[in-house]
Amino acid sequence: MDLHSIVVDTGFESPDSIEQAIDILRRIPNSVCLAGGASLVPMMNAGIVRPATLISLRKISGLDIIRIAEDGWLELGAMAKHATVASLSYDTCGFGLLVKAAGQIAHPTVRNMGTIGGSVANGEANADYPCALVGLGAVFRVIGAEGVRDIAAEDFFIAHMKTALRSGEIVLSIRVPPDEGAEYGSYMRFSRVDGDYPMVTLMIRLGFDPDHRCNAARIALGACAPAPFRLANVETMLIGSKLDDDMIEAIARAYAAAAKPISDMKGSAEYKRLMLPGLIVRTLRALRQKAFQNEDCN
Amino acid sequence: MKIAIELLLNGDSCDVLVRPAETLLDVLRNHLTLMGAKRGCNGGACGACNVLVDGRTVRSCLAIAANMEGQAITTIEGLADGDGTLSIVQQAFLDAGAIQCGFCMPGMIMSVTELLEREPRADRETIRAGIAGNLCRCSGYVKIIQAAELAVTRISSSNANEKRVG
Repeated sequence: MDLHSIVVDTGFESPDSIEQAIDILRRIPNSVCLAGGASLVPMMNAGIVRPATLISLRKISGLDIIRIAEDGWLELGAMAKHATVASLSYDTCGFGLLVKAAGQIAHPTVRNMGTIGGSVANGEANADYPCALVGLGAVFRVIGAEGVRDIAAEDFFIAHMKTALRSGEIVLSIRVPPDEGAEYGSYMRFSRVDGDYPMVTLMIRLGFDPDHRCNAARIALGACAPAPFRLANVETMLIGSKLDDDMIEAIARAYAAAAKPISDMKGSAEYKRLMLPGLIVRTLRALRQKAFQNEDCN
Repeated sequence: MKIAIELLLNGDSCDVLVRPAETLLDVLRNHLTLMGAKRGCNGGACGACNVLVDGRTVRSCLAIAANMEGQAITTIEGLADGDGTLSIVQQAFLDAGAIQCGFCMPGMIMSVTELLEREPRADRETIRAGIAGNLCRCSGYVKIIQAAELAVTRISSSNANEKRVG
């Protein structure tokens, strides 16, 4: 079938305000917000998605603002482009890791187009931002006809292409907390070809007391499970430890055991299960060395 | 439904009627017969359709045309001067013999043009990262990188800072 012939009835709206966008979203069934287009348009081109109406968010002013809020949280408007986030510079560990994650998404041209709000709302949980934001403890601010609500990143991603965003809601901003004692961290993504969707994503945040004992821990593993996940019992186990090799291997085993990789064009499930523990061990060892030698986080 | 939009295309204003689901690539190739930007994957993976929008590369196959109102678009057809003199990057690709089948060239040249506008002294690693999203189906990357390096040399040796790369 000619793909061009089946998309003729799509409508287009370009509202000036978020309220107008919500109203259109409510009035027109199967209408879809258009942010950067990097996720939505490939699916339209392939005939997978056929929106009744595209609601462009481009003319809504203020949606791409990036700022440190008064409470110290980093606030990124939904329309902030990956390239913009990747070009930021922060001294703090967590914000720096987000910048690093943004700079590794796809390729330069795609980073010129894709937005953080579009990436998370699309719900591709294997992408870089979902794992990075779960690991950083980010909170998503969304708006709908009933008003604004906040959703923790780890509650937002439910499964592949499934999020906690309700019908009629739009992602307004992504808020990332300050370090709060977790002065060290690492973002690792593994793909066989640079720029591909990753096979593994890992965001680690750790804090240490002067004795090199861990006093804050947050570890999110993604791209090898339906959604990025944390293991609270493993994070608790880390507290008070000196992150010796036995501990690092125990963490890697626990996360690898909880992962649910699938076979796909990037590799077989067996291959992914085999290489997972090694990647986690390697990342944790490098992080330990950085922390114990008092090197900068980023 | 059709929408009338005004595109700022290669320095000229251009009125077109587009359907909402049409991409900039559809408009360039099907409405305006500008065949420089190529339709490779039509999914944002190959880079053959890259054009510049406000100086930054964009996948024209992923840009909804109706959303482009008022943005300055440059395609490969707009890089040469009015008298046909090629841009530094275009000439470097010719002189380095970087062109095999040619399909990836427009997108490749747009990516290198954007990169050298921002980083005129880009080294090999920076060039490699800059064209990471452009696939060459002939796998002729060695000469493509040499071409970009030649452009860097020419920018720095000639009256580099006066003349635009693009």
